[in-house]
Amino acid sequence: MKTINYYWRLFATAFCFFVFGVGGILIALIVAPIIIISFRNQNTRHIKGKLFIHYSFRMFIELMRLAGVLSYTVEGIEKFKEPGQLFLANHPSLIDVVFMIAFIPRTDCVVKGKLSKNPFTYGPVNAAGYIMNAEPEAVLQSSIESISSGNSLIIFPEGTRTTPGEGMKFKRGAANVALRGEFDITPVVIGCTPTTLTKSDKWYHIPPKKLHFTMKVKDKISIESFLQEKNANIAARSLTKSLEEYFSQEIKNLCLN
Amino acid sequence: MQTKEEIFEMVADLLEELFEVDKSSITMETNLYEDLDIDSIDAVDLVVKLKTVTGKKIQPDEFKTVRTMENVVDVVSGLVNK
Repeated sequence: MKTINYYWRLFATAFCFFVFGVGGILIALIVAPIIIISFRNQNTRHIKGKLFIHYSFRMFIELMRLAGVLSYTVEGIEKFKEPGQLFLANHPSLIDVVFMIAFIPRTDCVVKGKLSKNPFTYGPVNAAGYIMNAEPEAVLQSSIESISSGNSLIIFPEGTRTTPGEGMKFKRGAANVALRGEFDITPVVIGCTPTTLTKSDKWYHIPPKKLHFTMKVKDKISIESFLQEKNANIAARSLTKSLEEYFSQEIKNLCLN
Repeated sequence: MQTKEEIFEMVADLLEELFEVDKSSITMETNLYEDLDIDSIDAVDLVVKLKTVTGKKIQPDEFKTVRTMENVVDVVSGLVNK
C-alpha cells in the first residue's frame, strides 16, 4: 500500500520540477537581461551568471530538503572552496550536477548542445556561459582555459548517467583535460539511495522512501606520475584506467558504510 | 604512387605507435572506435600525425565519416595519389 508520505513526495517532486522549469524561464526573461545590461564584459557576465546559478541551485536543494523530497550529507565541503579545480564525479542521478553547482562557487561544466535550445535550460546555460559540447579539440581547449581562468570545472567521466549494476567505464576526455592542462584532480564520490532519476527513470518514478544524497569530496589525485609518459594518448589511457579503479573502490566503500 | 597495402602498413604502424594497439590484430575491417577503443580526441591526434607523415592536408570533415581501417586507407590513398 502506498503511504501518505509517498503521495506527498510525489506531489513535492512534481512541485520541485515545476519550480525548476519556472526558474529556468525567469532566468532567461529577467536575470540574463539584467546581467547583460549591468556588465559590458562577456567574461564578467559569465562569472556573474555562474554565481547566480550557484546560489539558485543552493536554494533549490534546500527547497527539495524542506519539501521532504530528499536529505543530504556533504563531507569535505571545505575542499570545494579553492578556485580553478578540476572536479571529477560519478554520475548516479539527474540531480548530481545540481548538487555540484550548488556547492562549488564558480562552476563550469560541459553541457549538451540540446540544453541551449530547451526553453527551461536556455536561460541558465547561456547566462553562465557553460561549455557547449561540440568539436572535441574545442571542448578540450575551452575546458583548459576555463580552469586556468579560475573556474572550477566539473566533469562526469562516465559521459552519461550510470546504469545501475554495470561496471565503471570512463571516457578519456576528463583525463585529457587533466594531462594537457596539467591539473590535479579532485574526486567527488556521489551516492544516492535509493537510486532515482537514472537514465531510464521518469520524474514520477519516485523512490519508495525518501532519497538520501551523499557527496564526499576526497583529497586531490596528483597526475605528476602520468605526466612522465611522453605519449599523451597512452598517458590518458592509463590515467583513465586508474581513475576507474579509484572510483569503483570508493563507491564500494560508500555502499559499505 | 602508393599501393593500398603500403598505406595500410603505414597507418597500422602509426596506430601501434600512438595508441599501443596490437598491430597484428588490425585488418581492413577493423573498426577504429569499437575495436581499437579510439576516441574523438585520439582521432584528432591521428589526423595530425597522418598530416606530418604524408605531407598532405586532411580535411577534418573528411575524417568524420571514417569508421574502419579501410575508410582510413581510402582517405589517405585519395590524398597521396591525387
